[in-house]
Amino acid sequence: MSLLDVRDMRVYYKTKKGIAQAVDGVSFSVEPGQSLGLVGESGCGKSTMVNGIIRVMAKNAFIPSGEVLFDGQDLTLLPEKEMRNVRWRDLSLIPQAAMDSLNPVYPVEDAFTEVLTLKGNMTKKEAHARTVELFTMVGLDPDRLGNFPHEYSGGMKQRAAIALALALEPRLVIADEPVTALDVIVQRQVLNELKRLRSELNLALIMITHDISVVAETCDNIVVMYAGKVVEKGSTQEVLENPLHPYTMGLENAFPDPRQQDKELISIEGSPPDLVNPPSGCRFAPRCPFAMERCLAEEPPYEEVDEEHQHGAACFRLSETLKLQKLAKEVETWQPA
Amino acid sequence: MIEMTSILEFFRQDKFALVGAIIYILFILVALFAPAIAPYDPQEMVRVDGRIAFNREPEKNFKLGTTNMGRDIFSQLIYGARPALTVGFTAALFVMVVGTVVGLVSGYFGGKVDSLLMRLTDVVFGIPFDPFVIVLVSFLGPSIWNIVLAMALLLWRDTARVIRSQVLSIKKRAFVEAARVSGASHSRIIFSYIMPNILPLSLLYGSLAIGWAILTEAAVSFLGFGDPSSISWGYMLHDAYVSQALSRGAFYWMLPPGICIMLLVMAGFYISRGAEEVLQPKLRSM
Amino acid sequence: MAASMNPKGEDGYVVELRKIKKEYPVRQSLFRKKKQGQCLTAVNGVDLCLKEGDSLGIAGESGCGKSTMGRLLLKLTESTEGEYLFNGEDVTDLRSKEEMLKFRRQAQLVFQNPFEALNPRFTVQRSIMEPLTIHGIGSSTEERLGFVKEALRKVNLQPAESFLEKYPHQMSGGQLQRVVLARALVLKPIFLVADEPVSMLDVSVRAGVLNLMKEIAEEMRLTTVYISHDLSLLQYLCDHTAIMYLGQIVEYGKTEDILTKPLHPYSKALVAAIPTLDPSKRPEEVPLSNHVPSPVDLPEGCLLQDRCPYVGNACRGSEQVLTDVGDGHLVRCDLVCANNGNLKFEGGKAV
Ligand SMILES: Nc1ncnc2c1ncn2[C@@H]1O[C@H](COP(=O)(O)OP(=O)(O)OP(=O)(O)O)[C@@H](O)[C@H]1O
Ligand SMILES: Nc1ncnc2c1ncn2[C@@H]1O[C@H](COP(=O)(O)OP(=O)(O)OP(=O)(O)O)[C@@H](O)[C@H]1O
Ligand code: SF4
Ligand SMILES: [Mg+2]
Ligand SMILES: [Mg+2]
Repeated sequence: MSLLDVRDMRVYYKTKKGIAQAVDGVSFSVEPGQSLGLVGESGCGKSTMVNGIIRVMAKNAFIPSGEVLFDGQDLTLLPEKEMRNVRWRDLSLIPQAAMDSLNPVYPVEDAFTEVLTLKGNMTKKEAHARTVELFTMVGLDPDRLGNFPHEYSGGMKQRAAIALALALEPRLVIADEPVTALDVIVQRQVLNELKRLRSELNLALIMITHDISVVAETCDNIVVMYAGKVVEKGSTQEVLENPLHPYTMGLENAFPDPRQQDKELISIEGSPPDLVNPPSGCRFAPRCPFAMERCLAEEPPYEEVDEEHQHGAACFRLSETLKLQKLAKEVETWQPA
Repeated sequence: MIEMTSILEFFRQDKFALVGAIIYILFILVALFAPAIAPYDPQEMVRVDGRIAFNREPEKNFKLGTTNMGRDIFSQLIYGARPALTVGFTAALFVMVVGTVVGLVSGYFGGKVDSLLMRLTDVVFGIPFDPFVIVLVSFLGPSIWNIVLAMALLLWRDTARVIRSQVLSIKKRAFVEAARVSGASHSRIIFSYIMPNILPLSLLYGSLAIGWAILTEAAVSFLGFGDPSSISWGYMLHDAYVSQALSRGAFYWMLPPGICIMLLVMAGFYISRGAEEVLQPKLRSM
Repeated sequence: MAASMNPKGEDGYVVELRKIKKEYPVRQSLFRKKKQGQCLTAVNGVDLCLKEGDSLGIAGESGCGKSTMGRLLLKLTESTEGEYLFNGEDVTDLRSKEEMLKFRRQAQLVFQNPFEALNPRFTVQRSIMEPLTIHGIGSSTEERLGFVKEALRKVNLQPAESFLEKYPHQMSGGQLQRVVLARALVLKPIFLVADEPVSMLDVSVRAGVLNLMKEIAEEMRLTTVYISHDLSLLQYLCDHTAIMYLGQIVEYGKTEDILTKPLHPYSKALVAAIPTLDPSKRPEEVPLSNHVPSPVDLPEGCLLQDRCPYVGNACRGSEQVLTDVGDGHLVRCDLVCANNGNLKFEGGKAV
């Protein structure tokens, strides 16, 4: 049984303009000890989805349908009181912009003491020892525990937030942009530490990141989202080497690589669709250089192409992948007509 | 950061807070229209058939009976809303203004000013509230304004602390730094960038202070340090107590003012209870 | 380093830092007794010279003082030692308001998190007009509005009119970052610092913002400093790059040189750690030990000594200085300089 099995999950926002379908029918699963990368354009619903999974949602958000099976138990049905027992102990979240989530009025250690004593039933002394251990793990100097958040650099705050999420050794950690503010060495160190925990404690990891190369190096599987839908998923290597969906192809174009000095960055023109009135067909169609008439009218279903790598995508032109991949490498393809 | 609209939203979502707000509004209306609602002047010794009506039990003319001096209890109760709310609102205003200014200055300028003001706040936190009020009132004379003064001198401490922490976190936000890069002066930053973001919070703390102030006024009056020229609920309780209303079984005299005080304090509590969840979600939500 | 970066003591620099240092006092720690008067050294004697149109990238370890450098360059924090010359004028201590305003008008910042950098209660128009109002530029609101629209056009937010009345929460991250850029440019500054300008943005939007920044900087002949841990970004935007470690610049040179043949052991490790889409093509790693560096107890001699695989007695004794190894490539490591940059690491040992 999967550790986490998300089935046809929807998270909507009530807004003045109407209901925004921020996450619309997303399915994926995570096995114990496995790591999953979640990528996609800003605003495509990544944070909305993980916040929905752990049920720390904005006031105007609701889950109209879908299941989140954690260890076979549907979290969407769990009363808030029991959910609180699950958070931190069984699954924890490193929220996006975690560096701004530390309370500015208290020393950084206070947040750790609170979690460790209240949720982990430790004594103050045990909590301190554990905090020192956690700090060392993410490469922070335990001497700086008593400092206030504003006395930390951006990256230090981010590491503190990571350490906090790991405090009680949960089985699943969801990390929303955990390494954006870290230099590559520390980033490596933190990612390696997560890797070690994965093998030692069988910790599973869902990682949201803008940086596909981080996904390439740390994640077994990848889910690509666009405008609230999964457009492609599969094993990381397969998805990156053999992208099926035009959006994934575009994503790779826009990614700078310092070892490919003369790579020209091609951005995907246009902006994501309005989630209150999403286009009726493929949500990517208005920006897709390969869109056909059918794409505008019907919604492409998700199809698995490669069973071994559980690789599939939602696009009508899956049969022409090779041709599209070639075209996608050219700048002209992405220029607006 | 708390938005003004989110306060409305908050009342809509938290039913208890809504009830609290409604109770406040009802009492304000009563206080405003007291002369129209009350059948008698609260100080008047009411005569029936030419004789003063002492110690009447509730009846048609005296809905809650009369006092041992022949005053109509119902009218006293209605008029009692006036000093209660006057004390409540003026004290709350002071608490809000002083607390906000101290918190703002302390949080914004930091450094020595901050240490000094926060040390002062700690000192004020160390002063026991009720004894302080009584001492002050017995020094300066029994008047509701002295009670207000006593509260203004002490109760800003909670507001100041909360506002300071809010200012600290807003000050650290990039848009404030951006204003500095643009060359904005301190006063510009405080008034256009920070104030609008903490005002809702100080309003909420002000509303909390109302309940506190009313309770204090009642307690002080009950202990006999109140203002004899204005009939407040605390004064009514004091009156009833010294004339041994309870031993005569005159619950109609003691209960109503007690209930009114309780209602207003509860209203403040309901609002604050919900507000705390909105304002300090911190780890509680996780 | 001033000696090597500005050997002849030339003028004509937009920005010149001389031995700039920033220390924060350390409060008594709760758990360990500390010596009185100890300091945290965030920036440790940095020299820097930038001419008009120069673009410098700063990279380095998290917490090594990059943001503090940026804040010093913009005078958002005061240096504890050293001198700062801006356009030839000493701006180390700006006492009068007028001088400060003049400086603020010329030096601008682009923030890391565009979602935080704009006042949520201001419309785009008000946000961009604010600096104009503060500096009294333009005689009427209409004239200012004209400048605002011009700035919006410059950052490709068109038609400008449709953005004027928007609030930050009604825009995407990429659009917000353009507004932030527009606000920085509306004063027509000569110096721009960007601290992690696109790290919060999506990759697909990033390319657009980066291209734009590059174009504008070239067109306006801006002197720019980009702070980022993302070396690929620096490579794209900057002619020169400085690598920092514990408050010092340990290597400085053409960005291309630093990325292709880093010399300092720390830079080597940094470049080797860059993640790639194809992990198999990664160069051999330089193993730095996991010792957590502390800006409070700085060791004598080279600051990397506790982590460096090449460390020898010489490194521990004497302070290392930035030295030119040719072609304007500066390194702060005697060992590297003595070996003409040929330090190799094989099979867990320095060769
Ligand atoms: N509280 C809210 N009310 C209404 N709409 C919201 C709310 N929060 C987010 N949204 C919208 O929902 C969509 C998904 O947002 P979400 O934060 O999940 O995106 P994301 O994929 O995490 O993006 P990013 O990479 O920028 O963090 C966006 O269009 C956003 O504008
Ligand atoms: N206000 C402050 N008080 C005390 N120490 C501070 C303060 N601001 C920064 N520091 C310390 O100075 C050092 C340098 O911080 P800085 O923010 O410049 O790092 P950085 O290079 O930008 O790191 P990052 O890449 O993580 O953002 C850090 O050790 C930090 O904790
Ligand atoms: S379904 Fe059509 S529009 Fe959508 S990605 Fe595929 S080709 Fe493009
Ligand atoms: Mg997000
Ligand atoms: Mg920084």
